[in-house]
Amino acid sequence: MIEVRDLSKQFGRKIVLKGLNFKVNGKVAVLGYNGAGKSTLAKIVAGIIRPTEGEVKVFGKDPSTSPDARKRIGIATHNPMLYGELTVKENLKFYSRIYGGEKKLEELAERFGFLDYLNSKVSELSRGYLQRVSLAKAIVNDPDLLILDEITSGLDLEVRKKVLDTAESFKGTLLFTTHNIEEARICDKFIVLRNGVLAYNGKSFEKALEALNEIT
Amino acid sequence: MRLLELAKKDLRLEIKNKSNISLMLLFSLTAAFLFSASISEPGKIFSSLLLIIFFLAGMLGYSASFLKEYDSGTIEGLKASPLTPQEIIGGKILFNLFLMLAIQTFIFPVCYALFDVEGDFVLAFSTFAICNAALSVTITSLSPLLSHSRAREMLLPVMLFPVIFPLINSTVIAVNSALESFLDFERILFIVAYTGIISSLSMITADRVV
Repeated sequence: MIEVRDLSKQFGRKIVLKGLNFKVNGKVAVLGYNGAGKSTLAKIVAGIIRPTEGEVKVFGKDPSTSPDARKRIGIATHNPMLYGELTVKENLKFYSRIYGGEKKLEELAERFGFLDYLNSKVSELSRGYLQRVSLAKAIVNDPDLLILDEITSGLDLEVRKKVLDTAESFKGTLLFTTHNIEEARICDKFIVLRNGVLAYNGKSFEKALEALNEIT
Repeated sequence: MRLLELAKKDLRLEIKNKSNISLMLLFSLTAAFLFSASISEPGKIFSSLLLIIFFLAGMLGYSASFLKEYDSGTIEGLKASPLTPQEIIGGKILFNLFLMLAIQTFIFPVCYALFDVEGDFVLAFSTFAICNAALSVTITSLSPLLSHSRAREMLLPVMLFPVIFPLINSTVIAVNSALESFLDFERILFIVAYTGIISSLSMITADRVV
């Protein structure tokens, strides 16, 4: 469950999010054009950055101050957050340990199709494999909330399918930010952001599209 | 302990690319040779010269461990994890502590020999190890303050110098006393207490700066 109350975020003088209010669970797509504030919202929900005003609660706790809340969140963004000099296995082992678990990394690697690359340096991976590892990293802690922030942009069809299958079969709450409208169909709830303001929050894909088109 | 995992990860990275330790060792050795060749009787100001070498060599490493996380975007992975900002700073402190003590093990005897120092080697080495650790803890715990600023590599020594001056001053006196086989317990106590205060302040403000 994600609760957002009067959320605003400002970077210097630039207002990125303004007065957002919503309460969601299930599979939620966050739609909006470039600069709408999708990634900022994802980072705030993940506890990476703090809001300027208002509050965010994930499973009843503020993710920016509660390690317990963050332990239940997995995030994959276009920034893979991996250490280039370490191998894939070392990266996953590191994240697995700081989340307090010892997941079978081979199983994860097999599921995402990078078993042959477990001992390769992350800096030597192609973008597609990098995103596969990033996705594996996001679920290494068996999260209850999975945040996928524009992870599919620039990926080939096979990797994109893998990401969407993972998102679709995910059992917990999913926050999926994208500007690819078709990809958003895997979700059952839609949030549309327009210049940092909430333009739509509901279950209708058509109405979400309308709200998105009003922007143009 | 999660901070141990973070320190182990940094150590693994350092072992793999050896960039920091090689740079710091190279700088320290060059400075030691330059001082020994250009200063007559460098042994008389051994502790001061040693501090200059360690302060400047340390600057190459202290900030790097934090800045690399910011530059590569991996800091977001750490912030999204259950690690607290205090654990992130703690992990970096542990790593830098290990790095600086490893460098001391190599550079201190070299300087001792090159500067033709006379005195109690073991006591001076041990006293300097405490001071070196204090400097590592203090500087590492304060380095996130500058992580968002421009020209942060240059700013770090300039901004932190006034804060660490009491440590530098006490280190020179404590090491000089140690060379004369006298353990200046009061100075060491001051160094430990000062380090404790500064690192506690850093931990209190960690939520806002990391």
